[in-house]
Amino acid sequence: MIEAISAMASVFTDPYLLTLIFATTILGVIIGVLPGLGATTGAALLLPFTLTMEPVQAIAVLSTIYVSATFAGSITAILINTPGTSAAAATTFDGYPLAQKGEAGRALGIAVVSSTVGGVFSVIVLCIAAPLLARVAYEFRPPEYFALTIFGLSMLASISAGGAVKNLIGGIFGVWLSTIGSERVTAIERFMFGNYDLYEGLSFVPVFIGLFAISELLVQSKTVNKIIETVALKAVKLPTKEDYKRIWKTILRSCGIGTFIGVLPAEGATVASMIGYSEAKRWSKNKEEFGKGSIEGIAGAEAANNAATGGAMVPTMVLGIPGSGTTAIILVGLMVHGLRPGAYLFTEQVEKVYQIFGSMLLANLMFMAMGLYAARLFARVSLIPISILWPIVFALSVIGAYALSQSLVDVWIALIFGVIGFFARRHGFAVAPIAVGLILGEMVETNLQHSLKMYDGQWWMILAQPLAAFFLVLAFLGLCGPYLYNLITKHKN
Amino acid sequence: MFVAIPIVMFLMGLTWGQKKVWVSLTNAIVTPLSIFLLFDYVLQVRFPRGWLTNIYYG
Repeated sequence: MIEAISAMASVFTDPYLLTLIFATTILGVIIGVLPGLGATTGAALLLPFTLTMEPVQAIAVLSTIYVSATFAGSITAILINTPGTSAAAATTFDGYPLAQKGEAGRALGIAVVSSTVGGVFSVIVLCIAAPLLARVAYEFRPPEYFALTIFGLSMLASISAGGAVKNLIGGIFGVWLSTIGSERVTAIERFMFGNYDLYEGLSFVPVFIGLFAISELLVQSKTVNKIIETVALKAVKLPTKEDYKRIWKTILRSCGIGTFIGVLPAEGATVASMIGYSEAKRWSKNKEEFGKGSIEGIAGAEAANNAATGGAMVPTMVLGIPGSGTTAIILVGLMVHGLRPGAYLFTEQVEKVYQIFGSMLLANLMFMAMGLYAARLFARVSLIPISILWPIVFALSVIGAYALSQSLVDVWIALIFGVIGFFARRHGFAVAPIAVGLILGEMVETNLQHSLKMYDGQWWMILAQPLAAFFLVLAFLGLCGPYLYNLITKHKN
Repeated sequence: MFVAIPIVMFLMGLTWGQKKVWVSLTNAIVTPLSIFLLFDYVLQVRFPRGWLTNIYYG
């Protein structure tokens, strides 16, 4: 415990890390306010820059981008009715109407305070829950990990905006992508078509840059002639005593909801903010104000989406199962830097783990200061013409994809996956399930192979393991539950 | 690579509504150059040899 606290405190006294987190928070807020960029694209673009950093610094940069961009999405959601990130979509429902009434400063103040409370709360939960879950995960063997990754894959059905079936198709496509290259045990070449640059399989970094950054660039080409109307903002106002009285229960409720949703494998900040908002409305005494500028609506959505950031780090770091596109990138960052996610991370690299948690805590406090004192300035950044912004994203994507292995093949992979991602999005498929499927696919295969070795090829023995069976049943219910429920109700009627 | 990137950036800027040619041109030259220098000096990444990188690396 003392070791953990001192590791977290060391972040606050390390001048290099402090400067790095400060600079990254500014960058994260800028990324968050730029419509279309968001935390996932930002993290994908910054991943190559972290390759030469120390592991803690690299993950601190990625997680700071995650928390600060998630918050910053609310600035444009309130001021220009365009959520900077999908997680801030629920904030537009009441943030923009309140801003139109001439209370943009008040709306932003409530968003800043709610986001900070949500973020800090979730980091505290992360510090407590992650080691406890790690103790449980310490007992996991390949059959349990296999079942857990199957459960994670089944949760892809609800990972993002696309329909459940489309998300699962995306996930399966990702799993298929993970089979490209030589098979680890038998060295059989799979789907390489004679190209030995693919012998080691697809590298995560160029695939993620393609899926998240280049595809977004192509999607944004449709917004070329979009006219943005801004709402005047004089200064951000901290909530008054009356405001606090109205929103404190909502914030606490959303903190719990957001953290819980974040902890669930494959659920993220967007789902959390929507549920946080609808629960705020359900419990409110002033339901009629919702949609017209309710401060409870803003607080409910913002506390929940930032609370989900810390929650989503729990399965990512403890089980190696990412909760969203951004945590998938953080997971790749962990792996690239030799930090294998899992229970052993909490026994062998305790100091590094708590330094990462400390960085997240610090980032939450820093974006609060920036939100309160510089929101007006950051809001102006969102007005950068897309004819300047997206060519920059293109250059960053291409050079970043090259940087990891210093191979032009990676650049082509990024470009090809950019086009794949673009067409996927155009036909209603989200790209996050493809990314998560790619990561989980390798885990599923490896753990299945180890399990079969353990039981001499008797696959049904996996079902005899109670915890593995439990996760498989959960996966089955997650996938078939709604259909079974519909069938039963139909039969009854 | 460093010939293709500025050309694509320049054309992308123009086709995406940038009316001032010099703005798109400056963006297409300054941005890749800055990123190149950042990767080369700070991150020690070596880029493939080509027309421009041959001049730089000698």
